[in-house]
Amino acid sequence: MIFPFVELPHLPGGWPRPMFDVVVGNMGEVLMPCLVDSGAINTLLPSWAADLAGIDCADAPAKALGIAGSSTKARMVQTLLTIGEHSWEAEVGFCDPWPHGLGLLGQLSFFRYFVVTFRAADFELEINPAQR
Amino acid sequence: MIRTRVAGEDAELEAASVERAVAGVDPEPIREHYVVIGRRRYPPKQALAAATGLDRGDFTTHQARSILRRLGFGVHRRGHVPPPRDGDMSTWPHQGAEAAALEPYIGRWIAQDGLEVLYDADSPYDVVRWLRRNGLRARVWRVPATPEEAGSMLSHP
Repeated sequence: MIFPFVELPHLPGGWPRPMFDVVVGNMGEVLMPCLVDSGAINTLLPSWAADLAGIDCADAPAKALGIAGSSTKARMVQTLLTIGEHSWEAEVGFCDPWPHGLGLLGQLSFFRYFVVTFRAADFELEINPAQR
Repeated sequence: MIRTRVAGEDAELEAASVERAVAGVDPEPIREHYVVIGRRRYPPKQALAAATGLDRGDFTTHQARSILRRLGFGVHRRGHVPPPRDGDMSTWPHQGAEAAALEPYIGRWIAQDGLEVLYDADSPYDVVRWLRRNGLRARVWRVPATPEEAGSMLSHP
C-alpha cells in the first residue's frame, strides 16, 4: 500500500508529513489520520476516538506519558485497527488530554506488524504487512 | 444589497442577511455545486432557501448560484480547490493544493474527502455526528495550528 504524504498548511510549518488513515474499531465512517512516528514507542490516539468507536476504556490500565512537551494519561486497550483492506489487533493508548489533531503510530502496535518504507524524496510511504 | 426576482416575487437580499440565515445551519452534503459562506460550503439551494424562506422547489440551482454570486459569495463546482500559495511546491504530492484547501481550517475539526473539506466544527463529536447523519465517510482531524500539533517536536521549516 502506497500513501502520499499529507500536505499541511503553511502556518504550522507546512511540509508534507508521512501520514495515512486508520479505521479504529468498527467505526468505518471515520478515517483517522495518523503520523507514522518511528521515534514513538506506543501507538497513541485521542480518547474521543474511543468514545465514538464505542471502545470502553474505563477499566483499562492507565499509563502516564509525556507528549509534545506536556503530560497525558493513556488508557491502554487492545483495539482492532484497519488500513485499507488490512486489519490487525494491537494495544493502543487512548489519551486525554491529547495535543494533536491526529494519531501517532509507533513501534509497538504498528511498526512491528509492517514493513515500512519511507520515500521522503517522493513524499510517499509504502507499507506492507510483515510476514511472520 | 441586490434586488432580484425569485419564484415570481421581488426580493432584496444582502450578503450579511444570508450569512445570518445560515449561521448555525448544518450544511447538507454537496452534490455538484456549492457556495462558500464563512468557511462552510452549502448547496446553493439550501443557502438561498434559508435566506429567503422560500421552498427549494420554487427556484433552480442555477438561479440560486447566480444570486449568491451577485452577493459576492464564492460559488464553485465540486472538485474545485483553491490555488496554492506562492512557493515551490511542485514536487509535493498535490503541488500544494491540499495545503491550500486546508489553510482556511487551521485549528478547526474537519471532515476531509480527498482535497475537499466537507464540513468543519468545533469538536470531533460534531463532525462525526454530521458524517453519520449524512451517511458519509471521511478523514476526521483537526488541522494543526502549530508545529507541535503537526507532530514536529523540535523544528519546522
